Formats: sequence, structure tokens, C-alpha cells
Amino acid sequence: MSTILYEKKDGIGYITLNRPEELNAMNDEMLAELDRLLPQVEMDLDVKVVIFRGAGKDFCAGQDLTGVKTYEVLSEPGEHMTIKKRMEAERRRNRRWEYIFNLAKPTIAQVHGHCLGTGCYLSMVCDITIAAEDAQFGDPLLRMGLLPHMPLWLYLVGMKKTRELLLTGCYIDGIEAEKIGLINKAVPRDELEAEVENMAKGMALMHCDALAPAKDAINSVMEARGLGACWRFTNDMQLVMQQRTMLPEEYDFFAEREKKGLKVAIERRDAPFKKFCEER
Amino acid sequence: MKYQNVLLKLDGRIATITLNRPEKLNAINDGMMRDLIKALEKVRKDYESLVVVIKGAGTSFCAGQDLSGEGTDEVMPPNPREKTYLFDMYAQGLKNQNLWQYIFEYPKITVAQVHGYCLGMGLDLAMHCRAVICTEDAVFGDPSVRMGIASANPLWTFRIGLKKTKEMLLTGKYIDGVEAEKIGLVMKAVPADQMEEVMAVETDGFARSSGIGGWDQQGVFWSSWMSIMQLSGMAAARQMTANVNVMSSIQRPHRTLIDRGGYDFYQVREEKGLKAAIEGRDAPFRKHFPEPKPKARK
Repeated sequence: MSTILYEKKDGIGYITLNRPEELNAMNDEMLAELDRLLPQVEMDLDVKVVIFRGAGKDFCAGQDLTGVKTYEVLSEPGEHMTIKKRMEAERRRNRRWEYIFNLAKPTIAQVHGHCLGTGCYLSMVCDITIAAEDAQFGDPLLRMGLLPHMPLWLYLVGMKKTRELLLTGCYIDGIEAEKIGLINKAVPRDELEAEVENMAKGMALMHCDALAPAKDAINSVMEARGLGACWRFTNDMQLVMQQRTMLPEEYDFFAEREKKGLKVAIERRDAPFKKFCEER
Repeated sequence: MKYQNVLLKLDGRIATITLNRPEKLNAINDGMMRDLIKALEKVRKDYESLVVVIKGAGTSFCAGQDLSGEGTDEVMPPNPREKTYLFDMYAQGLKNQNLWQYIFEYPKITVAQVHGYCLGMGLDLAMHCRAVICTEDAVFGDPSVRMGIASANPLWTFRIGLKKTKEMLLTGKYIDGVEAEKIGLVMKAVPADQMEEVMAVETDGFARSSGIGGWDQQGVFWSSWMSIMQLSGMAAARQMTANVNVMSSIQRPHRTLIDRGGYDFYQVREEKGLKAAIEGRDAPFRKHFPEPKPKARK
């Protein structure tokens, strides 16, 4: 494995996203490795708690936007846009989030640096999120004409804050994220690892047969509150969104990337919002 | 009517039900649950009272379900070493959910006045009241996961959100009143010496708002809120948490992974008694999740 590192120690499984030069952005390869790894981790009786973390300076900057081997994470305009094909990909994506959400053991996201887009989604589907105070959370998908598609936003931070964050695409830091309920706790950067370790070791004092139903009881309430249906709704809206025609005056991220490269395209995507977000 | 386990005081607009087994930290057994429901029924039919305060006698509000194993057939899942029948357990689980729903839907304003320990089923009781007012040093938590039991209370994620719920219920950690106010588990936390004063003001306020249209109209108003809760999945959530709770409590030690770093509460209780079993359950966690302690008072 290269894009994912895995080790286990003292009843805890450490899954490290490992593309540090790319800010651990998710591409097809990373997801494929995750898909292979997780069922093994779930069944491993020596692992009671799973920790997700990122190598290098960031947790995860979101989906890889290069357009190279990113079919699973990015719906590009063009060839693969038939509804059936995209539906398959979207269903796979949701199955993955739901699977991590319902993994039969507790999961903890240890977040530092950037935690954006699908990286933020990963931290949301984990049971516990502990972050550095200066970590950056956000979901700027809408700025590229893509639909933010994680129903847990609503359940975690409520309708008002969900709209504020998703419709502006602005980022918030760990302290703010704790305040609005997106994460459990924000701690100074140098205490992050110890804090997560402590939580994981505390949970690992219990046996798997205590932890699994306790988690399931909570998740079953979320199911009763409609989460199951929400996965499907956001899924279908995502498909609809992908089929829309861009307006002439709209910022075309993909055309810009084609012409000027990825870095410029991302900069130009965020530039108009910069002042507004800072003044918020 | 005489109650063995609670005290009922009807005093004009404010009724007070005091859980009264102070030597057991007001732990809930079958008798207390029955008395509590009976007392609530009595207050419901008393047209003078508009607000019900539920509080605890002695040093604590309520330390949770009675874990002694005696007189707890109705409130506790059976001892996993005894012969149990699935159907009985499901029937009991649903019956208990109906009792909690009764308290949740209660037509008059219920206020839990919490001091000292408020754990497990005691916290379930407080959470099913419309408002919780606590002392700053009160201690909240649900350690049932440490005994291998999944919480049967579906209100958690509605009250404090998904992330905090998981932190509380997957670790069994205890928090104090100040923290409880911060995360939305209680309405307000006040210094212990101001409790009576605050309660007088708050219950008077509640009684005045209940006076608008009388408790009858307030009851109807509350039912409309309850229908929103039902539409938000409350009914299904009750059924599902009851199911998972039963599922977790029918585990037999020899059929679980308890030997891989678990704690066999029932075994220790049998060998060393209840107190040692509770201490042994919580001790290893203190290093990871420091336990707040209520201040000792006369």
C-alpha cells in the first residue's frame, strides 16, 4: 500500500492517509486501498478502535482535483457522464461513507491542517472528531458547480449553519467547529496526538461486544431520524446537478484548469470569496 | 395514597416529586418507577398544579438504575447468567419505552432539579423532563457501555448532537454541570447555594406561562411539539434503541469477546459485592476521563 498506511498497536488501528505532497487529496487509488483495508480492520478482533489521520501537514484537502485518475471522486464534464455510469459511482461513494459510519467499532478522526470537501466528510462519518485549534474545515464544492453531498452536515451543525457554510464555501477553524458541533473538541496542535491517543485507549478498555451495540444504538436513532433516506436524496440530487448546463457567466473550473493549470484554477475559484470570508 | 419510594408534595401551582431512597442515592428499582408514575398520574389529575419538579432526597438526584439485582426485574435487563426468554425481554423493553414516552409527553411542565449524581437511568429521567436545572458540581453520565449494555434512551442525539452523544456513550465518561450546560444537556447550571432561589423563579415563570389558557391548553400545545418529534423519527428511534438495548443485554459472557479486555460486571458483583463491582467498572477509566465529583455538603 502506498496512499494509505496502516499499523496496529495496543488494540488501536491507525489508518494514515499518505499523499502528503498532494495534501492527502483523495484519488481513485486511495479509495480503492481504503475499500480493501477497511473490511479487514473491521473483522480484526485485536483492533477495538480505529483512528483516521493524515500524513504531513494536513488531514485531507478533499477530492483530488487534477482530473487524473479521479473518476470516483470527481464528476468531470465530458465522456463518462452517462447517468447510469455516474449513478454507479455515486452509489459506490455513498456505500463507502455509510460503511465507515456504521463500522462495527468506534472511529476517531485526528484532524490537523486542511480538512475540506470529502476530507471533511471523512471526519464527519467518524464517531469522534478531535482537531487542532488551527485546523481548517469547509466544503467549497459549490464554487466549482458541484453539489455538497453529505447529509450529516444538517444533523451535526443544524440547518442555519449548514446553509451558511455550504452556500458560501467559507472555511472555519477548529475552535469554531467545536462551537457549532461539527467536531467534539479542538486542542492546541501539539496536544492533538496525545488527546486522540487518550480517547482511543480509554475506549479500548471495553470489549468489542460492548462497543459495537452501543454505537449501533446511536446510529439506529440517526436512521430513524431519516439519515438513510438522506444518503439517497443527496445522491440523486448530485446526479441531477452533474447533468446541468453551465451558464455563460459562470466560473468554469474545469475549463480554467485546462487552460492555466490546477493551482491557478483553485486560486481563481476562491479569490472572489476571500474578502467576504475574512470579514465574516 | 402512600408512596414508599417517592415523596409527593402538592402546593398550589407547583407540585414536587422527591425520589426518596437517599441511602441508595435514589437508585431506580421497580418500586420507585411504579411510585413515580403513580405520583405523576396523581399530579396530572390535580387541576391546581401546573408545574412538576422532580428532585432527589439526600446527596444526589439519582445514581441510575438499581444494580443490586433485587427488585429490579422490570427496570433492569435480567442477569445474563439466568435463563431468559427473548420475547419477555422485548416486551419489557417496549413497556419501558412506553413509560419513558409517558414522561416525555406529560401534559404539564416537568422540571428536573439535579444535584449530586445524575447517572444512567437517572439521567434518562432528567432528559425526559422538559427542562433540567442543575448545580454546577452535579455529575452527569451514562456508564452502561462499561457493563456491555447499549443505552435505551433515544433522546441523546436530539439533545446534544451526534458527536457529543458518541463521546459520552462510547466512553461512559462523566461530566459536570457546567460542561452539561455548555453542550446543551441541561437548561442551566447554577451554584449550589443559589439553587432554591433559581428554582423558585424558574418554576414561577413556568407556572405563569402554563397559566395562559391553563394546563389543558399547555398540554395540547405540547402534543403538537410531540408530533414534530414523532415525525423526526422519535417513535422508530424508541423501537430501535429498545431492540439494540435488548440485543446488548442478552449477551452471555461465554458468547462474547469479554475475555479480550472486557469487564464482567455480574461476575464481580457475585464474588465481591455491588460496591466493588461498580468501583472496578469505573476505576480503569479515570486515568483517561477524569471524573468530576460533587462537592460534599451537609
